[in-house]
Amino acid sequence: MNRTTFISSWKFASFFLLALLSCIAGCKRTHDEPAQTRELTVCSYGGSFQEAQRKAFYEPFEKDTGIRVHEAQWSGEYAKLKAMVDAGAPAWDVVNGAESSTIIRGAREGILAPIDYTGIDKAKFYPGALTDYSVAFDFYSTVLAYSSQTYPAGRPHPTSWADFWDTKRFPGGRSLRKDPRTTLEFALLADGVPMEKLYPLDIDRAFRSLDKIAPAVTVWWSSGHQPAQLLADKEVVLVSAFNGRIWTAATQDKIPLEVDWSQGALDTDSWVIPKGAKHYKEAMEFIRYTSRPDVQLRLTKYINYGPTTPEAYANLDAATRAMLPTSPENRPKQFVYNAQWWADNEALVVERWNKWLIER
Amino acid sequence: MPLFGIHPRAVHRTTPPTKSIRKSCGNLLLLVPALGYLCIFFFFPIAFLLFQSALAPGNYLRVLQEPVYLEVMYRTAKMSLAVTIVCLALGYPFAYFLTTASQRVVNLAIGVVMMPFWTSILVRSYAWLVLLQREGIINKALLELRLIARPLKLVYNLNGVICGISYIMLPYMILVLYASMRNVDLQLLVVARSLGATRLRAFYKIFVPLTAKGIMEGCSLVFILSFGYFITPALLGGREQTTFSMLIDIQMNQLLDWRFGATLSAVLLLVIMLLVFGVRRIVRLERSVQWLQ
Repeated sequence: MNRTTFISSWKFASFFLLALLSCIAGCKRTHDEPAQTRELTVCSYGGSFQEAQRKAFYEPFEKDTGIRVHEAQWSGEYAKLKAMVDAGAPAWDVVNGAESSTIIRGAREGILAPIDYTGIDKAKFYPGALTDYSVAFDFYSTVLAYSSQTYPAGRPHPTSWADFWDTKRFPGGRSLRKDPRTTLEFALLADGVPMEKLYPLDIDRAFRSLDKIAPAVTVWWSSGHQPAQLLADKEVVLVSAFNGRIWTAATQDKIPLEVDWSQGALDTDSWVIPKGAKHYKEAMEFIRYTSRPDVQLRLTKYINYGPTTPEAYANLDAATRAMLPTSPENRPKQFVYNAQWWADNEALVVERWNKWLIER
Repeated sequence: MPLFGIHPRAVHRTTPPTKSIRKSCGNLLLLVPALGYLCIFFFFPIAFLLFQSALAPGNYLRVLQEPVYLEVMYRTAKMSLAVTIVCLALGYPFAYFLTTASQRVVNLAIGVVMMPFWTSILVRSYAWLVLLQREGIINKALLELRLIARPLKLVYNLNGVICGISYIMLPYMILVLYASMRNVDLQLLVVARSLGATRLRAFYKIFVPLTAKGIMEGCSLVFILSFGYFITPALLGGREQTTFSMLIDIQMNQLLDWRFGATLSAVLLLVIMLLVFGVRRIVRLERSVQWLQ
């Protein structure tokens, strides 16, 4: 190595430094740019779900209000949201949060802004749809699903979690979610606890019930798309699944899958506003907009998650209603997942669940 | 300790006999971007993490008292070890083949080895399902040949996880081993044979010890990377294949208990460091004892 290489390495280093500095400067400039138009950033789960939201909510909202909607995407990493809020600059103004127990915990942790309910008629919503920090725009359900190749129409198919647990009457492998949420509820229902008396959950009894079904559960799923795939590949005959995923597989991929709504667990997809969001006013305008029954109705055209206002069902045809978890016909067959109970007990239950999983 | 895979001799060869201060200053400047990057994006977060965990020291007690955490740690370690052994068993012969092959074959073979890096992790996991599941290709073929009466359970258990992680880790192992083997003077094997050693004896008495460092580096790398694996065990594993990083994820993302999550991460970091450095220590001791004898 001589003088020339010494100089070139100098150049090299200063080039990198310059590049780094100009990057920082570039970021700064875009931040300082004044907002020309009113805008907000909505974060959702991506995929076909976000596409449905775009057509049903974002595009009409832009047209009706003139507020630009920027889209972002996450997978429910609340840690990321917390980090953003803690850093004082959340990049998102409205976030589609599922896992309603985590929303309650997020509110407790102080990472969410309270909802301003002026202009929203709380009485128009189904019970369980609203909290001080979240507004639900759809209900989805964790339900029992199967392939109609295994159980053709006209022949008996499982219609309860007790049937799911009954490996003599309905032999074959099963798949349950590798997560205590809703799975413990199903275990209690299978053991004969009536839907109205589920909460507070009898944890000991739930795990005893799980012990009975565990040998037949050949796959514990952890990602929402697995149940449909497991049924399609004939890896198992019965699954618990998010209803929308089964519907997508049945209608778009033409896989003959069916759900049974009996004893399904209804939970919500909600809008939340991160604390310190830059466009709180626009965010609230957006939430008010998507709370209108006529707007909620639009989502059902693109995906089968059920509106949170009963009024939205008035104008839906029978075929569409049959596919929605909160239609007047299907809703009474299911129970509403108690997010509050889970928010209070989750840490302990998760520990016990993990212990149970690795027991032999 | 040298960087992974770079044999100390290789470094030595390129170092000129005289050192000028100016030259080393210039070289040090080359480190600035990388060091700056590491400071901002690695050391600072790690410090933050340790700080978070220090806020609730009682959590460390909880990790020790509640057996589930150490049990999952033990299982994750066992899984990583299995992956490491599989990678070494598959990678060592492959890397040895590369040292004897022509440059053209080497380029082609390395291209093939790097293939998994070009595919998304989800696709890679599903490719395994196509092969291993109940109605998968392997089970169908075996049933067709009447070698088995009912489908074997090849996936959604430890086997699925080991398959799924091993082939993602294999390139790391091969590249590190190849880098270390390239520095072995193959003439030494010829000399050993001329002195009466059999091919096999020359191989494990001369070649294998000379690549011991590479083996150590490759195994450490694969072991450490497998320890943090998350998606593959979730998709290809069964009820018992809960890895330690899954426990951390639940605390961080679902329960928002960052302090406990930080404690778990700190414990994981500590255990991996102890395991890797401990094993290196033992191996080094053993070798020096051998030397003395």
